[in-house]
Amino acid sequence: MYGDLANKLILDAKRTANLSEIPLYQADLVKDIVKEVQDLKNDADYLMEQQELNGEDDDAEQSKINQCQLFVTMLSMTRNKRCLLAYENLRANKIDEFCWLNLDPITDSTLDNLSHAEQEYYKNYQDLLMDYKSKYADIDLSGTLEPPTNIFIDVRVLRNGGEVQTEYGSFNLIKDSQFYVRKSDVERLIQQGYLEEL
Amino acid sequence: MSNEFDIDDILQEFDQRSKFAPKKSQKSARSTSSSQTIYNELTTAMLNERMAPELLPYKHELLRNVLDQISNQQQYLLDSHEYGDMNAQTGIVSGDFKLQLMIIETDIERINYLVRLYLRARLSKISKFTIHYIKTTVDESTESLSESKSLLSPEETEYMTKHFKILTDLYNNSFLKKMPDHLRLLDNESSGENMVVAPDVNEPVFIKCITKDLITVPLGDGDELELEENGIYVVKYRLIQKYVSIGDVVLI
Repeated sequence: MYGDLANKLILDAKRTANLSEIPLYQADLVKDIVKEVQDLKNDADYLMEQQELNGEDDDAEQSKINQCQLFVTMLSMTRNKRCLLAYENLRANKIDEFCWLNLDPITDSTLDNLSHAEQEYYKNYQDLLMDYKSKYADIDLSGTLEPPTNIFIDVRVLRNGGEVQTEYGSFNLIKDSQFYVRKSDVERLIQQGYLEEL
Repeated sequence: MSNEFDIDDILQEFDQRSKFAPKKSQKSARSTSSSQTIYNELTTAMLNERMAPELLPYKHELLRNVLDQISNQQQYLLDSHEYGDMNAQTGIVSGDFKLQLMIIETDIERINYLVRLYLRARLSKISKFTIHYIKTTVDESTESLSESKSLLSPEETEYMTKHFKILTDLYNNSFLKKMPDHLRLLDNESSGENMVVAPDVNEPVFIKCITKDLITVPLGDGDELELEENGIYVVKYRLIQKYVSIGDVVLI
């Protein structure tokens, strides 16, 4: 049935919406849908020809059926396109979200799940964000969206890492140790999962 | 919340105290009076932007002021730290000095947070309704409005156009270029289905009326709603749109 494939894609998109990761790009499904659209296009062309041929005939019934067929074919094509756009739009939004999270470098498994065009988009969007952020040098735009309470906070180290330099000296990221540090200095480390706020 | 009051109290105390210290009094008195209004304006702008379904005009002047103030404060902080470090041993600097710097720093953090929310809220709306705003701003630029009235800041315009471009590239490379000719356009209205997402101005919003004058809002069907000062209401955004722009009503 025409439209079934697009439906599958939308179901996948719906599942994606609730995931924190970006699942694998449905390359085959997208390819099949594009093919379906091309088939439909051929059908439509054929129907159009038929209509022109039958133009002289007086058979009103037949021409009505023909018109209806053509209309449904057109609708199916538009619907398929809409589904494809919806799917890609959702994924693009997900990619945007990832860029805002500051997870640099983004994990390879996520990149593998993206199609080639999406990887390109991801890189471009990151450049775009860098451009935009650099115009507000004093504002940490990708910082937390929770209201700040204290400048200094207690943090616990969750993962081992190297030495961290701050204005007030340096400390080593050793698992399970605790520090009292300036929040703005370590915000990025919290987002990246090295530290946990107590 | 209690934290906020504490800081304000302390700030006030410092303000009073600084009156006795002749050197600083002029500077700090001036900056607190103007920064208080800026702070309030910024909070209102941020809340309005966060709660409104559509993009509101960019507060060009306000943001310019705020960004200036932040960089001033940060410079001041840097200088003071240097000054503090240099004179730490000699005992010229009192213990309060560090505390004062901490308070300034906290304040910067808070303003930073407000600006961040404001800009991020705008960006998320721009990303959501990219095509819609590309269309509206094209109209705007043909009318050649002055910079201070335009909907977007230059940075945002740049962001929007570039974002639109890479999005279009993405769609084209993914599937659109393989489509039949008549389906290849992104915003194709001729096919009967409008796929451009536009903000929903009928969305209900919570508002607070802050003007003394009584505002009467027609609700249709001959009904009317009267907004009293300090009253809190839930109405469709479309109905109070113009009062938000003149500032008689704030969104909460």
